[in-house]
Amino acid sequence: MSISSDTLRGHTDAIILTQLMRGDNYGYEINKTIQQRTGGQYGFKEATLYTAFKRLEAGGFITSYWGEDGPSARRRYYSITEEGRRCWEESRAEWQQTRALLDALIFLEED
Amino acid sequence: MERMKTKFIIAVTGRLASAAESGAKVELIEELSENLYSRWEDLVSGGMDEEEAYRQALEELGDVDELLAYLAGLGPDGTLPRQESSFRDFTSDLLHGVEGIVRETVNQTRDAVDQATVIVRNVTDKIREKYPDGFKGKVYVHFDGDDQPDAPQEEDAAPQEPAQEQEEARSKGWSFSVGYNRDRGGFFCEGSRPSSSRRVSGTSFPSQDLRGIDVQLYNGDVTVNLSDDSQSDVRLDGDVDQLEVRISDGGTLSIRQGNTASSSFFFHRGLAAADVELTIPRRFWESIQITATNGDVEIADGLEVRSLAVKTASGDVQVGELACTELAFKSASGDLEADGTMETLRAETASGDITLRGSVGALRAATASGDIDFTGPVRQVRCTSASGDIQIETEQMPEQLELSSKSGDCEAAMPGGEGFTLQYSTVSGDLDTDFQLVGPVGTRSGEAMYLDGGGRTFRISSISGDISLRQL
Repeated sequence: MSISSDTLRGHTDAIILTQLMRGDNYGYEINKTIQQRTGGQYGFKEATLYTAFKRLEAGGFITSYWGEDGPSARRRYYSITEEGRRCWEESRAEWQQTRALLDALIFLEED
Repeated sequence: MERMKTKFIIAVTGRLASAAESGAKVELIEELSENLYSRWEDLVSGGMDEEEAYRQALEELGDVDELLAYLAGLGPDGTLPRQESSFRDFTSDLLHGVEGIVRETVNQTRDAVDQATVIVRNVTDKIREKYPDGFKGKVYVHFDGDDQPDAPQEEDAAPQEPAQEQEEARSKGWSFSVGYNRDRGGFFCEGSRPSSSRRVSGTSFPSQDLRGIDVQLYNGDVTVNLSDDSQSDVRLDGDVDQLEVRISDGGTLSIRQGNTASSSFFFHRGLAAADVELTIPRRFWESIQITATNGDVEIADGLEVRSLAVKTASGDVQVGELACTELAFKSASGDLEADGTMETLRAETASGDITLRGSVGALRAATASGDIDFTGPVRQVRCTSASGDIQIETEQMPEQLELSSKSGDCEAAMPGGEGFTLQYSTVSGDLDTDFQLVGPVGTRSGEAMYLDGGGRTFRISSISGDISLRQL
């Protein structure tokens, strides 16, 4: 499992951008979706997630705003920018290429 | 479950304790704890024990080192730096500068009305005094800005006034200037004989006719020492060969850096430094002005001066046992440390800290992220900060106290005994006081009275910073 965690960590930004392609969302909900989609096998630590948010925001890939959710909860929502969409498309193409390469390199013919 | 939410806020605040206070930090704490709380709710509704769920949620916070690094990389106003990291330092310096200029402009506009009133009064008085039978000379009015910081004073009017007219005015033996010059602290009025300055050489100058000192460096430290002999010469040490020294008719010794074409080229770009070490007799001085862009300024203990003005960009300023009528300090990132007796004290910085001890009539201090710390008796206090903390401790109850901050804390401590009315407001900070106040104190804002409410009103406000009013 540690190998796949490392691999996944290298794609933190792409994973987050993908979630935001579905629509604006806040940190906890984004992480929850990631956990659900991986059947609970993978989720970010909060600190990792927020560092990534700040990094993406500084790079202009996402923006954020405060939204009121009910009387007591104020949440910061994240939204993908045009630049973020381009970056997401690039990451996706890059991953498809990497995956094809790995498929060719990591499997034996008898697999 | 507000209690649990608070527990998360405290835990997250603890984990981020080593980061400097800023608006961005406050928002990050709010965001992280809100999400940890949501996680906790999910875990509990899934059947987990409350304490167990708290531990589990906190466990999922993970390693905060990267977040601390992010907070450390922010500008003082909490703006996100863009990703070009190699330019980050330069950009944040530039932002500091721009912010400083904006702040200065705003403050000067605010002061303009006061100053204009004083100018008109001064002008009228001086004309009447000098010319009881009517005035026939010339009045110069100019807004000369910073275009020629090196220009000697008699040239101030030059851009508007043809030399011939100046000569004419000079021959009548009287003229005065009314104007605006940032380097001289805003508006000014000078009624005097037409002044001129002459260049002097050497390193030792008779002090009897000197009334003031004016030092302007682009790069280099300034040290002012005091000699106990009140008649001794003013002595200049340091990188003397790189300095130009002039004495004006008005008795101001001015020291400038880099007036030759080649040296000016280097100095303006901060490539060469010239340090100035001055030794002046211990006696009363009319005015001392020091501008040291990147260098530090250190003034020996016991200076007596009517007006002391110090400006730096990044240099620190230290002055002890000062006795003066007005002290003005401006800096972007430099710190000010001063103690002594000052009638009015104005200090402004972006990120520099202001630390003051002594007896002050009117204290006005403003910072963006620097802290303001004052201890001593004071009559009037007006301090503002964005993310810096403000701390005032005074052994006499002031007549006026106005403190305001965004994320910084506002703390004041003073003796009781006399009444006052407190007007306070905060968005998410706490009000903490051991004065027996009558009126609302547990709410976000309100007006409360101590004893009979007295004749004075204290105003303290913050956004997320805490407010504390302690009795000594």
